[in-house]
Amino acid sequence: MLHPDPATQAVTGGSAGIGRLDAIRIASAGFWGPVTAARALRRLLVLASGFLALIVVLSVLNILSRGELRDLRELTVVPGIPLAAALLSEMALRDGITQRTLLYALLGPAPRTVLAGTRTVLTAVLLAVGSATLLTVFHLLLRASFASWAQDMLAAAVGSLAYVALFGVLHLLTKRGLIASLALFATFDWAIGMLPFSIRLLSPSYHLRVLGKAPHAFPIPVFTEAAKSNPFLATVVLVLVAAIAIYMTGRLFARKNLPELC
Amino acid sequence: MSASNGKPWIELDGVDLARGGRPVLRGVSATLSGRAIGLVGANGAGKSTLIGALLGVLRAQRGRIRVMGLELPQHALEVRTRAGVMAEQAGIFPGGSGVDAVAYAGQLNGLPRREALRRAHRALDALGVGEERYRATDGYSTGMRQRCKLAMSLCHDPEVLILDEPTVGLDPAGRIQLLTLIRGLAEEGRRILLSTHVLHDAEFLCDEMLLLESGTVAYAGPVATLVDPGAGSMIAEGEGLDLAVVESLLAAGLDARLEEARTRTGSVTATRLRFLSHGDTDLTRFWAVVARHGAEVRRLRRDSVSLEDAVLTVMDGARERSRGGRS
Repeated sequence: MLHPDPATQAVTGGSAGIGRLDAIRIASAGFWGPVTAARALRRLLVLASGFLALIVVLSVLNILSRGELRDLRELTVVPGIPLAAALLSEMALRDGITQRTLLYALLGPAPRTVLAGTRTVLTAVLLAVGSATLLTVFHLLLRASFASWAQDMLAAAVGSLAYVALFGVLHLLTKRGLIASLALFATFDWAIGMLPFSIRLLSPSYHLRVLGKAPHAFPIPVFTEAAKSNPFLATVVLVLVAAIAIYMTGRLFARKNLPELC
Repeated sequence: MSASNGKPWIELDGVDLARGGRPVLRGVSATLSGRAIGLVGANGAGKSTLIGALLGVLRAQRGRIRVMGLELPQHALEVRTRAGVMAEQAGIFPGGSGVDAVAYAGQLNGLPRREALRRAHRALDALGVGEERYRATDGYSTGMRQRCKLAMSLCHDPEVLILDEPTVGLDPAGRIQLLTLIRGLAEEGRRILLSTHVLHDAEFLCDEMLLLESGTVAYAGPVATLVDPGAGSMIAEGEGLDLAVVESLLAAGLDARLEEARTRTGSVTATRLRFLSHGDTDLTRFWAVVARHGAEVRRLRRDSVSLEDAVLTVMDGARERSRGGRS
């Protein structure tokens, strides 16, 4: 039979709580375990690799022109990152709730706020790595400057974080988080961001486009100069959006009764 | 181990909990201190909801909950650190081997990866899982899955084990095997809460029981009291057990009376003697009186009922009370 293990008791026994770093470590283990074991992720990796290879081959064969490559790069930033975030943000918490893989993590000692925050950030990391890889391929094919590449990496990082966090809140508020995310992006965020008016400063996608050097707007004739963002302001806004959304996710998740799990 | 003998480790006081606007637990109050407590009720009685509340995963709208002396939900994290949970709803971590799954559970309870792996092997050894631990869990039999889930709940050496329907889907032999393992864990000093709707499982393992009927407490207390409503009442049958014997027993300090055993139609078939015995001393006194009167006892038995009958009786009572309360 199993007898109490002093080594284990020292780690888990009798403590009123655990350190924040330990909680983050636990939350990370809870996230990566099911993700790395999921066959869907392996299929996604194969598909993504195939897509990258196709772009390289089409570019080398001159089927894709430099202009088309530039357009594809811009589309990767917006709407690519927000749309992928709408799909992936489900992974942070909602998937775990509906598939009950979150149950063991919830029954462990890591606080819910840490679980929510860590899982959101890790989901964003997945998206950021994916989009950064794609953007890097475009930069290599376009032979763009290092500074331009670095700015795109920043766009991939903060854009992924902001949108995964933002849509993660919607996934917690409603079971139809994907539809709500797409609706929010299409009807409010993207549409306002494309207007040649100062109100576009309220749209995260506008800031992401500025950071990702894709500053298109609807061709509406305007008589006054609309306020503009710049890479620094765009970074600050997107980080702020991410911070507020992660805070809200933590608060919502901590207070949420989860009947799906018991 | 702080969940010590005799000390209540589950305390519920007027707990109300609604889910999706529907009340699931209604005024649940109980103080339980058993080594192994059976949480018994029909499907939908509120067992899983109560477990969720005991772990702080679900929040009660009203009432007080204390587990191991810790108030919930304030100390939910500490309760969860000190408890191991085998949840009916949770599947085994997909895609990995048994030992991966158990180590994963250990990591989620704060163990470093290497330590979790060491503890996983230890827990699987203790539960008699051999080389199968290296096979993918997808191909496990129900019995092996349940053992693996039990190992997952044990990996971090919890003081308290909360087991939600651990024997579901097992054949009788597998059920006894798993219950015997769990009983061994209880004998080591761990406190166990066994949620089940199989009374035999609870009878095999538990010394206390919390019976839930439609979200209310039908019974909370020792199993012995449940099956022995007469609290030490004994029935003797035989020759010469008459009023003189009863008087002698009363004089000896034993509460005794004569009863008539009747057929269904009401005709008396025999006379029997009922008396209260609180231990060996009372029994010795009884036998001394019987011998003095030259009576012949052919049958002496405790006035107990089967657990199933006892549970049905209290459940019926709870249902009646519930109906009375509503009307």
